[in-house]
Formats: sequence, C-alpha cells, structure tokens
Amino acid sequence: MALTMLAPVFKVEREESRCIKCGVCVQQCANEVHHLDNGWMWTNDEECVACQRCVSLCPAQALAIKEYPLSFRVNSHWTPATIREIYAQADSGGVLLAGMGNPRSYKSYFDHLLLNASQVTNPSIDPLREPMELNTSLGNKTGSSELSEKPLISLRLPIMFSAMSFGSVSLNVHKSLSRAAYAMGTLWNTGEGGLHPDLFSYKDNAVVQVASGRFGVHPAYLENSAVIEIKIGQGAKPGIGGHLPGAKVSEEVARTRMIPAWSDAISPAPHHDIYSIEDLAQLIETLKVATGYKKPIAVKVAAVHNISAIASGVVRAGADILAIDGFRGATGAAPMRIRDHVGIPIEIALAQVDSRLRDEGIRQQVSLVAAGGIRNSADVVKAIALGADAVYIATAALIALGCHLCQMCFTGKCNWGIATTRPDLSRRLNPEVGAKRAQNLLQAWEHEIKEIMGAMGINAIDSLRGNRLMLRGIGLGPEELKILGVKAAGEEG
Amino acid sequence: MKITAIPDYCLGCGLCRIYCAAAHDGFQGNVLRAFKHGSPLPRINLINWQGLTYFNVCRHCQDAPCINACISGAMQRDENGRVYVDNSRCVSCYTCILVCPFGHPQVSRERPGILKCDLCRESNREPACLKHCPNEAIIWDEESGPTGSAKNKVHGE
Amino acid sequence: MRYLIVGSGIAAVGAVEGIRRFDRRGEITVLDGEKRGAYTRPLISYYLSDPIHYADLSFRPDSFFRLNQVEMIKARGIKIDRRARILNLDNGMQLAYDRLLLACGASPAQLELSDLNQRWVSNFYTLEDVERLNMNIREGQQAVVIGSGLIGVKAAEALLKRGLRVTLVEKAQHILPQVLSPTAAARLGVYLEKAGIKIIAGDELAAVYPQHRIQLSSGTVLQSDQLIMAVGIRPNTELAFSAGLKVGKGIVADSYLRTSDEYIFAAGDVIETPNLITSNREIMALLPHAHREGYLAGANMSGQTLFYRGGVAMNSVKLQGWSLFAAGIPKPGASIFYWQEDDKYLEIHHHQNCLQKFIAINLPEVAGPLLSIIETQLPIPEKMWQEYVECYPTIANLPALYWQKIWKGEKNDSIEC
Ligand SMILES: Cc1cc2nc3c(=O)[nH]c(=O)nc-3n(C[C@H](O)[C@H](O)[C@H](O)COP(=O)(O)OP(=O)(O)OC[C@H]3O[C@@H](n4cnc5c(N)ncnc54)[C@H](O)[C@@H]3O)c2cc1C
Ligand code: SF4
Repeated sequence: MALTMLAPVFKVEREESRCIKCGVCVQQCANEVHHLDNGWMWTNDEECVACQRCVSLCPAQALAIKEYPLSFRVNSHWTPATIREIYAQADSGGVLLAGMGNPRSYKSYFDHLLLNASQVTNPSIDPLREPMELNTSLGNKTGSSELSEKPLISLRLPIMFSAMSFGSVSLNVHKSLSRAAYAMGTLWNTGEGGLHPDLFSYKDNAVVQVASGRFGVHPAYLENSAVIEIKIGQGAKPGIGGHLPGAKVSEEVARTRMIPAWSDAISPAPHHDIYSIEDLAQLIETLKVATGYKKPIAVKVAAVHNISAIASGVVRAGADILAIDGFRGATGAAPMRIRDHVGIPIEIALAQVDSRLRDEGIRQQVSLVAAGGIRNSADVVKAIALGADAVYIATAALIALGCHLCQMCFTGKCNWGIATTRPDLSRRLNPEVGAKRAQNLLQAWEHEIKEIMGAMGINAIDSLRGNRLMLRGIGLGPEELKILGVKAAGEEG
Repeated sequence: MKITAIPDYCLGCGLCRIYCAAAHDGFQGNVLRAFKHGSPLPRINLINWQGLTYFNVCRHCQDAPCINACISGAMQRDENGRVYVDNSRCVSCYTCILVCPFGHPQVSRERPGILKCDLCRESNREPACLKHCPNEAIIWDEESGPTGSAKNKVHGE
Repeated sequence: MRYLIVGSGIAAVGAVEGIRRFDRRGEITVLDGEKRGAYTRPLISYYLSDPIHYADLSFRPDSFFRLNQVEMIKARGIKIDRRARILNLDNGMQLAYDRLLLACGASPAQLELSDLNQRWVSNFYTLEDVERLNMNIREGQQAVVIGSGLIGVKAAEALLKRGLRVTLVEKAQHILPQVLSPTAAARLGVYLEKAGIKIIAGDELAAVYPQHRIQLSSGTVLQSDQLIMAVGIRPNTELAFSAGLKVGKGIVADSYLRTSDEYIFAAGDVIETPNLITSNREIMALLPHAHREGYLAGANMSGQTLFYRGGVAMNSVKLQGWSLFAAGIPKPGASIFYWQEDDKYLEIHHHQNCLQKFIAINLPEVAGPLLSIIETQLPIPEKMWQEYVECYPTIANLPALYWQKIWKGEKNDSIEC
C-alpha cells in the first residue's frame, strides 16, 4: 500500500531513568505498542489508543500517554479528527466504526439543569437520621389488586445496569454486573446475546432481551428472568442493526447465542415480524402468554424525533416498561456517522414522553426508564425529576469496571478485559473485583441521591418523580425550557 | 497459611515478581531502588503453561518436605506457620529443591543460598504480591490460611 | 510414658519432634554417644572447608532439646533387657523405658587392610574426624581419598578448598557409582579434574605403607600426606542384634518403624528403608529419610499409627559450583533419554510407563518435579519424555500429565512426604 497519511494520535512517553524494563507494558498491550528487544524498549505509537493500561500497571510510573504534539495546523472547522477520518476512509474505502457513546460536544441538558433545596420555609432532611425511600417499582401500575395480571418489579434504588450483550462484552462483565445487581437489589440486562448458563442463578435480577436477531431466545431463557425486554432500537445507532464480528463469536458466545461459532452474528435493522404497533402488540402478548403473565414486558427504543408518538403507541401495545435510550447511549460497535449524528438527547425525549403520556392519561400504565449518558447521581436525580421511574447505566458501569473510554470496543482488543471475548484479555476482569466495584458505585450513588433528596426536603423518590419544580434551567432558551417543562433559574413557582 | 493464584484471573503480567523483589532484601517495597540500584531477587515465579500462567509460590506445606530434608536446619517454620529459609545457615546443598514437588525453591546466580517465598515475613506486612496484584488474582488460601482476625494479627497493618 | 532414644543424630531429632507433636508430657531421654555432642553429620565437610564460617553445625537451635524437655545423657547403650524393658549404659547406669528408639546410625565401613592405624589415615564421618583433620592438614599436602561416594567427593572438595592436592580413588569404573551413570560421571569427572581433583577410577587401595605411601591394586604407588577412607557405611546394629531383634543389613522395621519387639522402634541410617519403587529394603543413609523415619517413629511411639511408605534414593549436592541432582534407581531395560547444553545435563530413565531415575546437572528447576514424578510413580508415556528432551527441559515443558496433576491439586500441600 502506498503511504498512509495517518499520523499517530497519541505519543507514548517513557522516562528512561525510571523504566526498569520489566516488560509488563509489553505483556499487557493487546495493540502491540510496546516492544522489548534484548533490553531495548521501543514503542509503536501508531497503535496506541490511550487506554492507559500500561500507565496504570507500570510499577515504576515510567509511562505517560500524551496527545501527539500539533499534528495539524490549527483549524476549528477541519479538526484533526475530521482530517484523520478522511485519511482513514481514503485508505480503506469503508464505513468508519466507533465504540462507546457519542463523544461530540452537543449541548448536555443535564448540565443546564439545576436542582432545588429547602431553606427555612420547608425543612431539609438529614438522610443519616431519617429513613429515605429509594424503593422503586416498575411495571403497569393500573392493576387494582395483588391478584392482578400486572406484575411489578421492585428495586432497592432506581438505577439498573443497561443491556450489553455477551459477545460485545466479556462474560466476566456479565458476572460482575449480575452479582452487583443481586447485591444491590436491582436489575442487570443480558443484552441481545443470550444468558450464559453460569448466570441462571441471577435470574431474579436479570432483564433478558429479545432483539431482532432473536439470539439465545428459548423458553428457559425467557423463564430465567425478572423482566423481558424487546429491543427495538439503541441510542447509539437508531435504525441500525447489529453486527458482531465473527472473531468475537467464541465457542462460549456461540453456545449462548445458539449460532455457529466464529461466524458473524447479524442483528437485522428491524424485527422482521414487527412493522407496526399492532405487530409489536402481538409480540408483547406472545411473550406474556409464554411466561404466564408473570413478568413485566419492557420495550426499548432509541430517542428519535417523534419519540412521544412512538412512546404512546408502545404503551398502548401493552408494554409495562418503556426504556428510552438517548443519543449519547453507548455501543460495542456502530457506524461513527450514525452514532454521532442520529437521535435526540435523553433529557428532551424523557420530558416530552412523560408529558405526552400524562396528557393521554396512560402514564400509570408504564414505567419509564431513561438511558444514554447518565454519568452520576445528579444526572439520575435530574432524570427522575424530568419524569423517569428509573435509569439504566452502561458506560458508567463499565468505567467502574476499568473502562478508560478509549472507544475501541469494536476491535475486540479491549485491554481492560471488558469489550472482548479473547480469553487472555477477558481474564483481566476478575468478577470478584468487578462486582465489588460496580456495587460500590451503586452504593455511592445511593448515598448521594439520598443526600440530594434530603436537601430538597423529599424523603421518598416517588415524590421526586416528574417533579419538575425541583429543576431550573440555566442557559436555555424559551423553546428548550418549554419542551423540558422546567422554569428558568430565577423564575419563582 | 498460604496464598494461591486463581488461574482464571491471573494475567501473567509479572507484577507479583516485581513487587516481591522490592519487598525483600531491604528495598522496603521501593521498586526503583530495587531495580535501578540493587539486584532484585523475586522469590516467586510465573510459569507459562499452555496459555495459562502458573503462579509458583510456596504452599507452606503442613508437612513440608523441605524442612524435613534440610541438612543444615536452615529451612524452618515460624510461629505463624510460614516456611522460610535462614540463609545464614544455608550451605546450598539444594536438597530442598530436590524434595519440593512443586519446584518452588530457586537458586540465584547472584547470591548463595535459596530463594523462596516467605510470605513477606521480613516486613510483616501483607504479602507484596497479593497486595499488588492488579486483578486480585492472588488470594489467601482460606482452607489453610488464617482468616479474618488471625490474618490481621499476622499482618497487623 | 517414658521414651528412650539411643543416638542424638537426625533421626533422634525427628523422633523428639514426632513425640512432642502428640505427647507434650511424656519423659524423653536421649543418649548422646558422640564425644562432641549433637550436630548435623552432613555439615562436617563444610566445616572442614571453612571452619570459621561453618562453625555452627547444629541442626536445630541450641535450645531445641531443652525446650522440648528432653533429658540428655552422655553415654552409649550397651545391652537391652527386653523383658524388663531396661537399657544398660556403658557408664553402669540402667534406664527403664516404655518405648525405646534405636537411632544409632551407622559407622564408616572398614577395609580389611593392615596398617590403617596411622596418624595420617582418617575416616570422614564424625566431627572428631574432621576436627583432627583440621589440625593436621597443611596447604600443599597431597591427600588421597579412597571411595568416591558422596562422602568421598565432599571430603575431596573440602580438602581442595583448603589448598591440598587431592586424588580421588574409586573402585568402580566411574565416580559416584551409586548416583551417576557413566556418561554423567564422565562430564562431572572432567569438570572436577579441571578444578584440580585427580581422579583414578577402576582401582582400589591395596596396601598402606609407613612414610605416607600407599599402593593401589594396579600397582600404582602414591604419595599420601593424608589418606581419607570413605568406602561406605555400616549400620550400627550390634545393640539390636545382641538383643535378638530381627536384623538384616540393617535393623528390620515394619511400616510403622517398629522392630520385631513391639516396644522397640528404629529409625535412620541404622534401619533398612523400604524402596518406594521396588519395595526392596535397603540401606539408604540419607538425612531426609532419617528425619522422616525418626518423626514417624516418634509419633507412633506416642500411640499414633502413621504409615511409612519408604523412600527413594536421592541425592543433591553442589560440587565446586555445579549442582547435581539424582534420584531413583537404574532399571535394566529402561529407555534412556539424554539432553545437554553447555554445562547443563539431563538424563531420564523410563521403564514400563514410569520414570525410574533421573540425573540433572545444573538444572535445579526440574529436580523437584522429577523426583515427585518418581515418588508418585505417575504414569507417563515414553513418547512424552522423548519430546521433553527434544525441547528445552524447563519446568514449564514437563509432560502435561504432571501439570494436570499440579493444577488439580492446586490447593494441596506436598503430596505425602
Ligand atoms: C560427610 C557426610 C555427608 C553427608 N551428606 C549428606 C547429604 O548431603 N545429604 C543427605 O541426605 N545425607 C547426607 N549424609 C548422610 C546423613 O548424614 C545421614 O543419613 C544422617 O546423619 C543419619 O542420621 P541418623 O540419625 O540415622 O544417624 P547418625 O547421624 O549417625 O546418628 C546416630 C548417633 O547415634 C550414636 N550412637 C550409635 N550407637 C549408639 C549407642 N549404642 N548408644 C548411644 N548412641 C549411639 C552415634 O554416635 C550417632 O551420634 C552425609 C553423611 C556424611 C558422613
Ligand atoms: S518449598 Fe516446597 S516443599 Fe517446602 S513448604 Fe514450600 S511448597 Fe512445600
């Protein structure tokens, strides 16, 4: 091939006076950046993705990864990333792939919303002294008695782990998240890759997905769950199917997905049996019948332009839980242009859908779960005040497990043992450690949410739900405020 | 008492050996001092076997053949059950190497005597390998090792 | 319970440890027959090579016997009255016992030659022997060591270190005949010769003349300022024999280290040790065996019933910087595999699906695993050993069957020892 014009993005700096040539970096880098030849250490910077694995493990703190110094003349329209993408496409002639969530600098509405607190006129609550109720139940709440055929799922806190399929992530991720969900009394989600037999014992905390590829769907799978989720779309790639490259379809993955090993696993863009709300209603009913009306059925859709009409249709089709995935939602692999340019923010979609369902009087029939870009407990509180019953977290959970957001999930060479099925790499995530860390994260957020609620003078999460008076917009225009249904900072009420 | 590595989670990165060397011979855990200004002598070994890494550490056997076989009385067990070698007594007959079924004790070119895991009794801290394993793959073998308070007692940190 | 132990060597120390593990209160008496008190016999060659550095020859700390409440009596046992359960000592004392342990070790074998009673002729067996040598030797003297067993070669090495010129005479065709094969011995021989030890194999001592001269069977006459006799050992069985106990080459003890008298046990160099592989009983004068047998005998005297499987012949020595490991016994008809590179050498004897013997020179890492393969008689097909010597013989490359066993028993202690 002729000269490639791609310059390295990152530069590995090794402090020779500290380096002890132990070779840990060489051994750990799946991208083969580090090399040790007869006592001579050298690096191949081009391959570096800044995952920081070597930096974290170097026992001599000899390494630092830096941005490659001034690779292009400064230009705020033709940014280095833009130029690089063109080079890459000129090299390959293919669609650009990307992992994790939309990294672009679109406005983050969470960062333009401020929370309220009590002062004098109503007392704040000290969460250490008084009970705080974060208990959340999900499902259709219009049932009148306990005998109703409208099952509810109860969570200790309104945070669940979002769908990440086995195959796109390692089994150890599933093990970590399922154990943490069990410990914290919440749910984790299998994603569309089936449920590994090792995890059947976590069924009471599992959301199992039925997606367009129908991977791993069989009666026992549906039975081994707390909730069944029909996946229509995903925030990172609305309207797009999935493609798990054959290289990631290991024997284990294949067995769990019930497909041949080492062959590409293609999820079609639409479900081929769902071309209308009526079709969706049929699938929902089918799943309910198959599981004896014992489990709530969730439907997950991506936040797109006419999300409120879609939401209304999904609820009327019989969904007990509606999960909406905003445009910051992450993925194991998506075409970069789709990930970065399709969909709308979750904050907007959530407010819109909550209002619409209230207006139509069907809000009680469904629980709303917000997903896509929830970064911390404040985001959780804001999402709930905007109308969510609970949130899904994925990126935050992976970061807790060690993800450094290098966004190269689609290569299958995740150095942190997360987005990979290579045994030597997935070994790097000890589920004991992962479960503990994911659990710690939830615990920490639980504490913080209680603290924020206490400051607001609210002692039950139910009183916060859809309580947009607890929010004020800052730096938002009248149109945005109207859609979000919040007042501007300084407005009384 | 003994430690073990869970093969499923051992990365084979070798950090255990580095921190092991730094925890002994008076380096006080300082990796740079050990590797830049001293001769680091790790007591443990990693063996690559068909894609798995075998953590070759002392079992501190209940019925340690090396103590039984040592001709100079250098191989001993301390009050906490740790098998260690007193290199001032060792005459390098290497009988312990011969009788250890796990091939644990090693020799070093740099120094007479034997290198073997002593669970960091020198520093009386938690074994350095266990403390620094990035994946917590090295654990106390609870079947034999002290648990809870006993462990804290031995490694009172 | 009154325990009486004859001898204060390694087997005796093992016995005290064995008894005290199970019986904290019984009275233990140890008869110390050494003029110089208890010490570790194998250290005497180190002592001779550097008396200051290796001044401490104790096997256990000085406080060992005191802390274990052992009464030490400096005397030799001369007669056992089995009916009365009394031991008569050479100092006229009589000691009653409930359990008696014969741990009286061995003595150097003697050649049937006259004139061995010269000041310049010594054995190499006790601390007294080497203390006397230490006084008598001078740098530059000519020493001749008769016998190239482990004792002989260690003696030769020690004398070389002290600046003597050393000649090693061996009756068999090569040195360390019990331990090495001709091939391995040849390699070691070349190395030792280079280091300064002259080796004469296939010849034996025929006569000793006054004026520091000796003659070998071949007729060769050698000048010899110091003549060291290291022609093997003979178990001290007299006491047992005179008491009517069953004695073969050594005292015969059962798998619980009990002699033909139910109150009398025996351990160490003085007994015939069952060979783990062949089940034959033979004299294996080895420290690990002596300690183990002493320990088990002690435990069994206190009422336990611990089974002794026996041992295999095994040797580990470091000679002039070379490490030498060998274990097992050669079997006729065995397939032998060789590997060598620079100063490293490995020899593997395989017979009937099992490893019978190995010799490893300067390859310490494989010694322990190979011995355990012999001891456990782990069946390993011949092909695997063939492959093993075709690649580099590291611990990682050992046959998969060994590794499978180790992985499975990951949490285990050492397999019975
Ligand atoms: C130079 C040398 C080097 C060696 N190197 C090694 C080596 O590297 N590795 C190895 O495994 N083995 C080695 N050995 C062998 C090892 O020393 C013996 O196997 C071990 O010492 C045997 O211990 P024991 O207790 O059975 O006998 P001993 O140590 O001989 O103890 C027996 C004691 O009993 C005393 N005694 C005898 N009769 C009586 C009696 N009637 N009354 C009272 N006391 C009595 C003796 O004086 C002696 O002190 C070596 C031996 C020698 C001589
Ligand atoms: S060195 Fe070997 S024989 Fe000795 S205690 Fe450790 S594992 Fe057991």
